[in-house]
Amino acid sequence: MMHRRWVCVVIAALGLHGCTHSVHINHTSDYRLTKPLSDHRVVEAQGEQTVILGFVKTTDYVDGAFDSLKSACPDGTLTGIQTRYSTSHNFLSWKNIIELKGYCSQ
Amino acid sequence: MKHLPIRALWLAVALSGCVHMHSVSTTSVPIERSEPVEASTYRFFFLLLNFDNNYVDQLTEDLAQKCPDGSIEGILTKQEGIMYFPLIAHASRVTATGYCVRPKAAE
Amino acid sequence: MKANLQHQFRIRYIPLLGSPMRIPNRRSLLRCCGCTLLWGALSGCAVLHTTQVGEIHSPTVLQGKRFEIKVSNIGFDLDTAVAIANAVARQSDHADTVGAAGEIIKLFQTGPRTGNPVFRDDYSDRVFEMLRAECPSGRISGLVSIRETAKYPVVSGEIVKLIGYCAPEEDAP
Repeated sequence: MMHRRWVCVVIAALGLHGCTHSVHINHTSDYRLTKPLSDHRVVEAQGEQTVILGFVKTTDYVDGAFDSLKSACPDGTLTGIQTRYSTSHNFLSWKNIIELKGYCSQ
Repeated sequence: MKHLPIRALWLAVALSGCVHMHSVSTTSVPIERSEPVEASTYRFFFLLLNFDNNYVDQLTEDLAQKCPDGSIEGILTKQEGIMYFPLIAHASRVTATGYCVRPKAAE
Repeated sequence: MKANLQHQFRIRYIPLLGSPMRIPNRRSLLRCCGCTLLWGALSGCAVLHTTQVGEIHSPTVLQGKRFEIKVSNIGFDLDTAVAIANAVARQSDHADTVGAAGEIIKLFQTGPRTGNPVFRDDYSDRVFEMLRAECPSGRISGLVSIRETAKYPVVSGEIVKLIGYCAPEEDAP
């Protein structure tokens, strides 16, 4: 009886846990326009980092994501950049995610 | 001797220097990106004790000094928390990287 | 003492749980409900996590149109939910089972968090489009990005707020 109850508990916990996330920051940069906003195109970039048990030494994924965004607009100005930093939780590990979206004048 | 694996594990934990990001923000990026500049500030905390955050105030001046005749644009600001040893040794680092844009010489 | 207790609480058998539960009399029940409602009303509080102030162009801020964009998602406080479930289950000897289920679920929610965890991480992405809808010209200044939480028992509102100023139409080229 006890054994069956514990099996039910584990199954219920595994089924009900869901994938949880936490949005830490959503920042929007300044808007610096040299021409109308309608003449800009939207560019995006994303960076991720998987962390197991909290052991991680760098945050270079952020710099990589920003470099990707800049390379998507090499000869124009990037403005109105929205930066979203969030974490997706998992079993004894998590994934840090940074998403960048902005307007490119090129 | 029998506690050696546990001590080795604690040493590995202590030397790992776990780094986590607290906040990040950006500003508009210019077309002119030939001259990157960077400045950072660092504060070590012992026993998690910190009595002021004035170490951050110097960041803007440090960055401006690297580009005295122009303006700094496309700034990526990161605030990181570093754990050297749980509860005893922590640090905070704020890094700002950007581009120095000098005014075009009058033709 | 026993007579007083019996006056305050009448022992009834609840068929659903199959174990005796003490049911308070009307006055105690009303008092209990009132305290719960008061606790619910007073426990909702606002928590500010981060604020970031952007570049300010004073004419735009002073003469432009102020707008505010707010998006949110429901966060779930597992610790409070497990504590409440434990308190309810204590009567029927299931507290250890509820506690164990809560601990297992917590293992699947490891990681840094701001406020309570939510079940979607992209709920704040639409701020980008909403900002364009508020100010199609893009003549925006004085942006303030705020991350806050409105806390209630067990659940919370995980809020991303953006305040800004849109330049008047006559200033646009």
